[in-house]
Amino acid sequence: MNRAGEPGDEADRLRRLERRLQRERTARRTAEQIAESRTRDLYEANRDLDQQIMERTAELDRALVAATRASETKSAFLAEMSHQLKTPLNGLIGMLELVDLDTVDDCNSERLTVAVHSARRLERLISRLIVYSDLDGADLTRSPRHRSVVDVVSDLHDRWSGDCLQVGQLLSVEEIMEADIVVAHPPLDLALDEVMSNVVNHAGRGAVRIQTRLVQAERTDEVAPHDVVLRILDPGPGLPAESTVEVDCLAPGDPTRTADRPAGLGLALIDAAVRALGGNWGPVIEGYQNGVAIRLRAAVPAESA
Amino acid sequence: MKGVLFNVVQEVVEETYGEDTWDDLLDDAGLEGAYTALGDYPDHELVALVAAASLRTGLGPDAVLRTVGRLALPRLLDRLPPTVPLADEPMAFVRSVNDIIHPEVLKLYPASHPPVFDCKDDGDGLMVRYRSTRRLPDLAHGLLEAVDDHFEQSVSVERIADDDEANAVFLVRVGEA
Repeated sequence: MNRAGEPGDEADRLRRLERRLQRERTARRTAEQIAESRTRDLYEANRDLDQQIMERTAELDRALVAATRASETKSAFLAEMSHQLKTPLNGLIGMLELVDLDTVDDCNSERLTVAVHSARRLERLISRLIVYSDLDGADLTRSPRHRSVVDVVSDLHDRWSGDCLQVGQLLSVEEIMEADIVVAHPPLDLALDEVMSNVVNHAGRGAVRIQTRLVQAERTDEVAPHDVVLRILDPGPGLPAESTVEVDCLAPGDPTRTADRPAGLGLALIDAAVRALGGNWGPVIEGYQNGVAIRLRAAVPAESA
Repeated sequence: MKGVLFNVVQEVVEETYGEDTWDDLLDDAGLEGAYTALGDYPDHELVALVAAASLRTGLGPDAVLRTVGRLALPRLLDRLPPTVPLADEPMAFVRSVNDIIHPEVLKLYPASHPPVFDCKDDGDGLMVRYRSTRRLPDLAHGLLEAVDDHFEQSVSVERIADDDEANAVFLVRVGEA
């Protein structure tokens, strides 16, 4: 046994240091070999991934081209069909009306009136189908115009108050606000008209209320931090309760938070129009009344917010 | 066995007993000891190191492994990427070993075979069944005991069953050190 500081002790220390150094060298070499091998694996994996991305991108491009072509074909087909259907239908309606003018028999006259009425309904159905095919999947948010909420609601009231009165409904406007919405006019009017048509035809007698609200937008947008919610409440049974949503909580354009796509041409038209405007919609319940709420982007924050 | 575990054992020995002790253990065990965290090494090398430490300290191999486990846990946790979410209380931490920590370990070290810690509530405690082909329940015992220090809460770990060396059951309780 050597005492500390003696030559044997120093030799032992040196031997230990040499061994540690050797261990570190070996460990470093091993680590470098492993790292190099993993880097190679990573490089190859990256290369394969690049290749897969390129192939997938090309596939998606091809699918997009095919989908666009299919959509164009569908639109062209529907437009063509529209003409092909409407031309004989108009001929049919015209001839029926002419025959009706010459008919003195009350019974036949009544039958002709029913036939003309049915033909006109068919014509309207075809027209709405064509509009739906145009709106479905369209994006009308790129060339928006500002429109006053007051104008939208006043026009809606003017268009429908008479029809409402005829079926025993009192149409009133409540909680109207001074704000603009960013919107293309015809599709919004179309969506609102479809709602009102449904109300007039199915809701029964009672009060029909139009309301507007300004709610905080979920998106980050300093220019237009609010959304406008248009609500039409009626005394009818409304849509199925399970499909009822609180539209004030929906984010415009967020398809994951939208009510299920509805069945029926009227509701499908509302859905297609509101989506095309970058908005959202859904059935609502307030107290004893049911209704529909449409949420759209506000153009400027209203003073009353 | 992953080199990272050997690195941790080396750190524990060197910090607790000095570098010379690690040299001596390697000599006693007849090992070169050039471990790198990225490498894989035979399990018997750890067994040989534990046996050497047992002879030098007079402690049984089980006590040596428990001590290593206790001292190794904070060092192993330090090596996890900072993005791995760690629980902030003992029981949640033990529960997260299988479902959160080990999946991340497998991402870091794809060829590794971490042990399984099946957890089951048992009254106010947690029944933890350890399973591993490496047969190191004493190391698992020490790792579980280290939860006490890590959270600075009193945690008791009782080994209540051994089916064999590859399977052991622990009862972990908070507040009963």
